[in-house]
Amino acid sequence: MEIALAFGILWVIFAILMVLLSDKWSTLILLAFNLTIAAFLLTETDLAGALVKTVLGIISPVIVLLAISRTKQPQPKFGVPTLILGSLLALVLSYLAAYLLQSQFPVGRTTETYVLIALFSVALLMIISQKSILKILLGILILENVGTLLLTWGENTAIFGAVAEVFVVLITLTIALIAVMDFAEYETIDSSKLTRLRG
Amino acid sequence: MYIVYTLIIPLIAAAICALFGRNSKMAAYVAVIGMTISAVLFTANWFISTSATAYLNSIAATLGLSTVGLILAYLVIVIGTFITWYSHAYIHHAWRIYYPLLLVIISTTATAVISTNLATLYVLLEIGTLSTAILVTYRRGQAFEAATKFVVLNSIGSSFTLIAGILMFVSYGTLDIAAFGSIPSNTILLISLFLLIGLGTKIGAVPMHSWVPDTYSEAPIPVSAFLAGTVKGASAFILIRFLFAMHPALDLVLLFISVTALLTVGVGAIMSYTQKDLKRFLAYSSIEQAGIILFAIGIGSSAALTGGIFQIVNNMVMKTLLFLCVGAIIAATKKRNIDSLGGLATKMPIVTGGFLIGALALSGIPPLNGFISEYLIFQAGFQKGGYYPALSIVLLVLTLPMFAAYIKVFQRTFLTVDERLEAPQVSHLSIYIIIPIIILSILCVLMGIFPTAIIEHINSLSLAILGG
Repeated sequence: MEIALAFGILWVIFAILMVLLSDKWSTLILLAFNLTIAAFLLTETDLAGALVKTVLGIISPVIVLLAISRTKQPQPKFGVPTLILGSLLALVLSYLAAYLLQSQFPVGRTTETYVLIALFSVALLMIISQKSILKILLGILILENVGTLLLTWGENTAIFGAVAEVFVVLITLTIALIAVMDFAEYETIDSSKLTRLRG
Repeated sequence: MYIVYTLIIPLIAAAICALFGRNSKMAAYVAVIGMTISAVLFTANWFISTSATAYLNSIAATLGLSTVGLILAYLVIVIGTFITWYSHAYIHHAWRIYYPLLLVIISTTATAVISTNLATLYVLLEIGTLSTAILVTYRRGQAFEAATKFVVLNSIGSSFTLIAGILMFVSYGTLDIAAFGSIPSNTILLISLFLLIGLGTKIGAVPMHSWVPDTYSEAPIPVSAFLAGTVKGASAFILIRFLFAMHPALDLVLLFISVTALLTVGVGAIMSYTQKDLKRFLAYSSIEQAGIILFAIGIGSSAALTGGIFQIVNNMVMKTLLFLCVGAIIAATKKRNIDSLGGLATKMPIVTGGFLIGALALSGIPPLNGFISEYLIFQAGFQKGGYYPALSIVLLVLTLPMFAAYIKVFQRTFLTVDERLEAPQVSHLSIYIIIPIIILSILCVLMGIFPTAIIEHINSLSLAILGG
């Protein structure tokens, strides 16, 4: 439980930093996030899962970094103080929700469930608070990591886990590619400016 | 054996299309021939008793495919075949990846509706989503914006579906949804909500619908037709299978789905009325149809599921028909704004007839197929009791703007002639565009006049889904 708690605190800090920092730094933190998940899988004696997460968990951030080098980060929707406040609010609300639902949690998974709910709420905050398509992609990747962590609760999950990771890479590749094409067409990856079709 | 028709033949055709590369004409011929062979063999399989090879059956079983949902897989293949015929005439100088991706989307959709394995299903849905995202960018320019909305929102939806799938796997201890036992109701509630957000995004349920009008209006017409009619229906069917594989489906979840359905119908119907672009109009009307299907799911009884699945089947036919008619109008006149059209009834009588049949069927006018399925859903709503009779009346009221919108669009596009405007010039249409419109129109009429056989089949299907 202590190990899960230690990793959990680390991941929540990573997720919040991803909300606050620039596209490039957030992507580097995602890389660290993925590698620490691989380390956690090793502590759970899931060698195959750790190996898959290490290899594929490096590819996604590299793809995003390549896309960042070919685009320009738009002005953030909110300033850092607002995002810090939003993150704290998301954490408090997720903690409250988790506390109220604690009696329903799976036996022996209380700490992990708290961590997953916190990560989930920060990922949602990231998706709704950002204008950069690549930053929204990073929010989606945090959500996918919640799925990866949930998989550690099951047995014989290696194949499903590997399949999911492969598709995370493909999703990353597709969104990154479209972001680059958006930039070539509109000179921005600001989702709030891609509005010509609205109406 | 059906895996050959849904997966193997289309994928072999896709691979050959890819080999032809820049020769788009040859790729189109291969796609048309491949899909036609698949549809003909699948049709023959309904009537001729064949002893399927043990090897192919074992592959199907390993992938977690079952015969439940076979009728939908069949329809996906048949409509996919029409779409490739249509593409052959409609898309000139196609991208080298157009046909391979189109066939991949058709085959993954057809196979997904017969899949009972969570991992297989996730793979199929994701391949379909990513292939669609690339195809949406076909027209470039504004299509990039549409593709961005599509892929971002659907990836968020996919993440929710993935988490729901993992929760199911962890809770039930199996990937096979046919082998699900019972789990605590709070877990069912959580999984159901994740499923509703995840698959609801693919269906275009409000408030996750914003990608629908942009994507359907910017994608090439054959792709929009397939997405609106078939992929949406397949996603709704998958939602039904997942939701009712968990016993018992919770009343609270069903009520929540019903309210979401009414919102979806309302937004779709009202926004449709305000549209002037034919493709955006159809996109919003497909949101309204998604709401009607969701309402059947929300009622949750066997009778409602029969009506809902029949509505999915009908929507595949009706919505594809309407998109193909609009594609024919755009191909012939190079216009898609209803204010710049008018008087097409005399110039394009077959397309006019097809559009009229499709619009009347979607409006639920007897004796067409849409009437039967919508009647079954309303009847099931009244039979269920509780809030549902009142909700059914609300649904009926909310569909009225949609009917008015169909009348307005039909009148302005086909009947009214504005003498201040130059009459649209109409060019000749290929037989490959006309034939699918004629066949789908006939299907709308036949499925309305002789619905018994198909309803009986769907009834046994809904009982199987509910575990009866």
